[in-house]
Amino acid sequence: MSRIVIGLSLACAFCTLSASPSLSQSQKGEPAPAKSAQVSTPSAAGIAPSVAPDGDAYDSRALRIESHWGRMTIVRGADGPVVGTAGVFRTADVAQIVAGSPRAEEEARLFKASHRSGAVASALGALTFGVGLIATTNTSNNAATPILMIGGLGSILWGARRLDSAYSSLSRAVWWYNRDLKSRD
Amino acid sequence: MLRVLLAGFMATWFLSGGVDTMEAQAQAGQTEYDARALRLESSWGFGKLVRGREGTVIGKVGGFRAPDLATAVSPSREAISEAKEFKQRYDRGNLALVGGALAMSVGIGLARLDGVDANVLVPAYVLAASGTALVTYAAVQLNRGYSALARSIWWHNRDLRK
Repeated sequence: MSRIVIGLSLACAFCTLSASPSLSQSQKGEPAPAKSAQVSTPSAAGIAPSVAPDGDAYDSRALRIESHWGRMTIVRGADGPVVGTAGVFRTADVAQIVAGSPRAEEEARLFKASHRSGAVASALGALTFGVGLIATTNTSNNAATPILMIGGLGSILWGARRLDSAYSSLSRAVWWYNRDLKSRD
Repeated sequence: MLRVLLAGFMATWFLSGGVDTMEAQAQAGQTEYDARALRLESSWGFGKLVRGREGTVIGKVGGFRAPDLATAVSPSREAISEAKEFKQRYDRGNLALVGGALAMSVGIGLARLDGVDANVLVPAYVLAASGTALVTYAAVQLNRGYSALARSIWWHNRDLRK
């Protein structure tokens, strides 16, 4: 009996040692894609059908952001309707569109805050830069014109950075919404 | 001794199976979307193709370059199809943009030259107009290309497990 116990203990120790590297790797987050890549390789050769088991809710409700002449349109579903647009000055209530997913709503709020400040700063910057430029070309040069132009340019850049951040937040909001949509099924 | 070996073998088999199952559930069952789902983020007017919850950048879109999207969205068939459309339109759009901008610049430049006669002026305007048309065509192609990119990512994420 004791030999059986010893045998079991040895086997347990062996298994724990051999399993630990893969577990510690999976905690780093790297092997997950590798494992998935192994799983998905046959499908790449066209063996597995590309139909998700939980495709119905995703097909009808998942969002994506498409581009339409400089404006972002938020589209729902595979062939679904446009549920909102995100331009520089007018944008939809993204928090309402992604309602139900806490992380998505958080990103939507970040989008709204960054978008508004970015749009206002860009517009004011363009206006200030324009005024400075007109003042320069009208040969009414004074000390204020370079300040106006540099200030305007700085404001445009800051606004562009904020808009950049806003659109990344919008992308993450959609990502989280779709993720929670999948996990709820 | 035989019983020891048998017990050891059974314990090894059981534990190995148990670890695999847990790993499979952790990696494939619940975290495949977290680990592999793509999104396109913005960075100074360029697109960043980002993978997973951690946000690993796997490629940049813009400035006449784009990642190998078809490989990134493999094995989803619809995603690969959209990725091919993106590549086609993106390359065509960039080419038309360069050609159009060049034609427009040369046309406008020639038209603005001092003392240029009508024999040069008319072709210069035609060149500028053709350049404008080509730039518009490029914008349409790039616009449709980016929409195909969005759909490709959508299909890829759709075909991932939960």
